[in-house]
Amino acid sequence: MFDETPSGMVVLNMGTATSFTQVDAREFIPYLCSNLIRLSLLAQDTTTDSGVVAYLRPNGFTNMTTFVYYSVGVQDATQNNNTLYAEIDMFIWDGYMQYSMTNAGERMWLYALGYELNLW
Amino acid sequence: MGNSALSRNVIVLDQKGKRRQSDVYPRFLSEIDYFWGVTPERMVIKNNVTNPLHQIDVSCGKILIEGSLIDSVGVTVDVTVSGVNGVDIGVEVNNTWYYIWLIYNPTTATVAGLFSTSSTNPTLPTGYTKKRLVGAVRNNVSSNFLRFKQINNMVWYDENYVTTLMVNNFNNTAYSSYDAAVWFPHVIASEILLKVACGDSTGDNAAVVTVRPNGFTLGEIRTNISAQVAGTLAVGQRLPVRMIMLSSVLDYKVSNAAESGDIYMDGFKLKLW
Repeated sequence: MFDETPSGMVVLNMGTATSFTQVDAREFIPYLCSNLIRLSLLAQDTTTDSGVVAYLRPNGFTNMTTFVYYSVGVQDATQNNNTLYAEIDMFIWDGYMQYSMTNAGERMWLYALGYELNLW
Repeated sequence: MGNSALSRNVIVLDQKGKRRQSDVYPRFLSEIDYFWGVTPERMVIKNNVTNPLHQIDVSCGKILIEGSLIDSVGVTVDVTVSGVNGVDIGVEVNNTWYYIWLIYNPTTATVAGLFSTSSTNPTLPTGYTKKRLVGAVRNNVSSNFLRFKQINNMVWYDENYVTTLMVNNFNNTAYSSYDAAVWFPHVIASEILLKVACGDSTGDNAAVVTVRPNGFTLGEIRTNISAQVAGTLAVGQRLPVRMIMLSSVLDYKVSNAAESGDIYMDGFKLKLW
C-alpha cells in the first residue's frame, strides 16, 4: 500500500470519455510481478438523471464491451453532483486498463492505493 | 524447448574480469533458479486467439518441472486432441474443469501441455515422466472454453456479465447457499472475485446484500448499501467483493424481502505457488 497523498497517485483525473478509453497505470503497478491494483474510485454525476455508471475493464478484454464492469449507482434523480466512493481491486496484465462513462456529465477519478505482488 | 540442467556452471571472474578456470564449478540451483523453481516466471495462460473455445496458450519463462529447470515455455493445448498437447485420456468432456499441466520428456528435452480432469494425477503420454500443474479452464455445457486470462496466480474472466451471472434476482432474508464450483476450481483456488449487485424497490433508504464463505457463522461481507435518498424507488448498485473460500459454496441474503441481489463471478486466485 502506498503511503502517499492521493493527489500524487492519480491514475485517472476526471475522466469523461463515453467510449472505452485506455488508461496507463504503469507508473503505479509493477505489472510484470503484480496483476492486481487497488484503486480508490470516485464517480460523480453532474446531471439530473438517475445515476452514474462507471465501466472499467482490463485492457484487451474485448468480450466485456457490453456490460457494466463496475457500476456505481447514485440514484438521486433530483440533485446534481452525486458522488460515490468505492475501493476496488482491478486486474492488470499489461499495465493498462480501460474505462468508460455511460453518458456526458458523468466523470470519474481513480487513485492508486497499492498493488498485490504475485511472486509466490 | 530448452532445458537447463539442474547443475549449473557458475563462473567466477578475477578482479580484472578474467575467468579463472579453477573457479568454474558446478553448483546446485542458484538462488535465481530456486526462485523460479518455486514460482514460474510470468506464467500467462489464455484462450488461443484463433480457436479460443477449444485451445489454450500457455507461456512462461523459467519454470521447474519436478527437478528439471526449463528456460521458457510456449505451447498450445487443444481439448479436441488426445495425448501430447491435448487431453490425457478419452475425448473431450463438456461441463467440466480441465486442469492444465505442463509435462516434460527428459529424453528428448521436450515440454508440452496436457489437459486432465485430474488435479493430482494426470495420465502422462509415453516418455513424459514429469509434470507440473499450472492452471485450469472451464469447458461449459456446450463444450466451449470460458474466456479468461491468467497471469501467474490471478485469473479473470473475459466474458459478458450475463455469462458469469451466478445467482440472479434473489430476495431471501435468511442465508441461502450457492455452489460456485462451475465458476472456479475450488480445489486449487483460494479466493474469488465477485461483483455483487443489489436493488431496492421499497423506498426506504438502504439495501444490503450480505455474502460470506459457506462455513462461516459470524463473519460476513456486507456490500452495496445503496439508495442514498429515502423515498427513491428502484435503486441499485453493483460493486466488487473479494472473498476467501473454504469450499466451493458461498452464502448470500438481502436485508429485507423487498430488496434483490445478483452475484457475478469476475475471477479467482489460484494457490498453485
